[in-house]
Amino acid sequence: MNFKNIMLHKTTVVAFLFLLLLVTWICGQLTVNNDDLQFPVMIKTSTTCQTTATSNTSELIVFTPSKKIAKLLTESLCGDNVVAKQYGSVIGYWGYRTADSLEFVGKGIADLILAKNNIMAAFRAESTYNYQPVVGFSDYTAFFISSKEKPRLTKQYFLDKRIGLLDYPTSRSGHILPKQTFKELDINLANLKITYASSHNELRDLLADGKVDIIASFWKESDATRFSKNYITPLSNNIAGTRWYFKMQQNNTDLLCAIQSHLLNMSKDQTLHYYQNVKPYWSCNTKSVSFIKGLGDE
Amino acid sequence: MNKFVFSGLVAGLFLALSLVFYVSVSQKTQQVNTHKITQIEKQIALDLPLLDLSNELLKHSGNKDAVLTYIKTLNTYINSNALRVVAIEPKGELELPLKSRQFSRTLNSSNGAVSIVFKINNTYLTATNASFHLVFLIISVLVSFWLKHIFTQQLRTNLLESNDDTTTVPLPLVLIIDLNNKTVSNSYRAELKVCLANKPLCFYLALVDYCRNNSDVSLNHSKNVPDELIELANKYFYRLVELGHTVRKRPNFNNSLEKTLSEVRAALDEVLIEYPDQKELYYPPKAYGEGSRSRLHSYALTHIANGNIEVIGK
Repeated sequence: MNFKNIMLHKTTVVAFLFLLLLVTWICGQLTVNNDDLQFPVMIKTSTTCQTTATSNTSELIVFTPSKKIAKLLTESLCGDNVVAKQYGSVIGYWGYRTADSLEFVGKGIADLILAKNNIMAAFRAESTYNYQPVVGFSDYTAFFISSKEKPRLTKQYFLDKRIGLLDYPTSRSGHILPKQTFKELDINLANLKITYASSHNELRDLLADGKVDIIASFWKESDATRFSKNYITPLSNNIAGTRWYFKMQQNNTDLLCAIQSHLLNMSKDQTLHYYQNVKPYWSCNTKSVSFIKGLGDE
Repeated sequence: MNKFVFSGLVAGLFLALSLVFYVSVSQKTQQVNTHKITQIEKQIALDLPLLDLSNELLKHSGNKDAVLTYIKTLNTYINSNALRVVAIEPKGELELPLKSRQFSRTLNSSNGAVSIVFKINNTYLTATNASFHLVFLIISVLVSFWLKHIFTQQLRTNLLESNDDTTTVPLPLVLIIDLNNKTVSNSYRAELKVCLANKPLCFYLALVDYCRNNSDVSLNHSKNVPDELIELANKYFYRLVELGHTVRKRPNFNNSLEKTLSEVRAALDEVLIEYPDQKELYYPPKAYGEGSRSRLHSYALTHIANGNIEVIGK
């Protein structure tokens, strides 16, 4: 009876409604997901793996411009016996930006590095840090490629053309050589309509989409499906291909030979014809290890 | 409480609860989003040096795929459909105007300003919120029933109170005169009965009837009792004879009038002892000071029209 009286009182109703509104407000506050955002390292620039020698703290540092190759090579080196005898872990860095590769080469940080010989030459890395070529990709030719006619190497021809180049200054076929050509033809770069792309594939897309008239790049077999081989003009022959360099600060020939065999194996699995075509610089016999003559720098 | 009022009450309660909930959710969502946007901005600012954005000065075209992949990864960590990063671009390359529900923030770095485009897609009616509203509806109905109950209860007590008023206040004391056993009593205390002799009983009844019919009459001791009054008294006396209370001849009501009135007064004094305010209605007025034989004094019941007298066995 007492309870009933209380329930029938107006004050109870008002208090109850007030509480109800309060609870409603709190419910609203609680239903909204209030999780804190936790971000890991979003952009990775390296991968690490352990060899079987877990107590060894020394690291084998590998640098390549490609993330895919860095990962593959790091994995395969970690499983190597010779590497395990000398190193506890292998770290593979991949250059996210052009500046990174310059730092690695210029300061001699990496033990194994995939670089163009012009960059190695620029830093004199071969003499400074005794970087020795291990495996090299075949030389290639730089071309002007057009979709509608064979480009002529004359000043008049280029003046009203839209030209696609690569935006990284270390590229020979896509940046240095075409610009050298323009200089030789006495063309002011300011008068050219140059569009920059970040990769050779992007350059090809620009040409196929008709956004540029001419691009500067190398020729690969698969290009025949999109462009005509008749409409290419060579800029320069025998551009030395990219090479793997090994820092030989000691006469560590065991490691050199192990790395060379890993690099050769890895090239066989590459899809691009260009990367399959590799040649070793060292002959690794059980008796002696020697530099193969006649393959030296041009 | 009719149906319209009831459904109005339900709707009002439901709307009030829903509104409070909606405001609460909106306020909290906005707060959370502001916080999240700050966190995302911080992360993007950290990653900005490694993001391959285009740069006009350095003639760098950037890697759009890498940036898109980054945004995709970022969105998986944000893990919410409500807030997404749509684009990260150098300020000059931002496509304007932005689509609806999109907005941009700017990060100023030494390499130039970078715009981040966010998209907020708040869907209020999620399953959780919908179920909350369902609960509110149920609560509204229940509370309305409660209020209805209180309302009807109150109406009932009001009605009871007003009923009490009609029984107590407008139904005041009734003077009951029983001819069967010649008693006078009041309705409040029916068990208190005072007996009255034949003569005063008949005279009082006649006086009551006479004064009812002639409200402004003045009855003086010095004058004879009016014939009409005598006739009425006789009539009551014959009734008493009929009821077998007396076999004597009828009395002369003109004789010893003062004595008759005194007997009446004595009986009424006894009956109305607890209700002195009622006396005025039923009591034949006494003479004060001027002398009982005064010409001015009247024993007429001037207020009897307002009184209630019930005669049993008339």
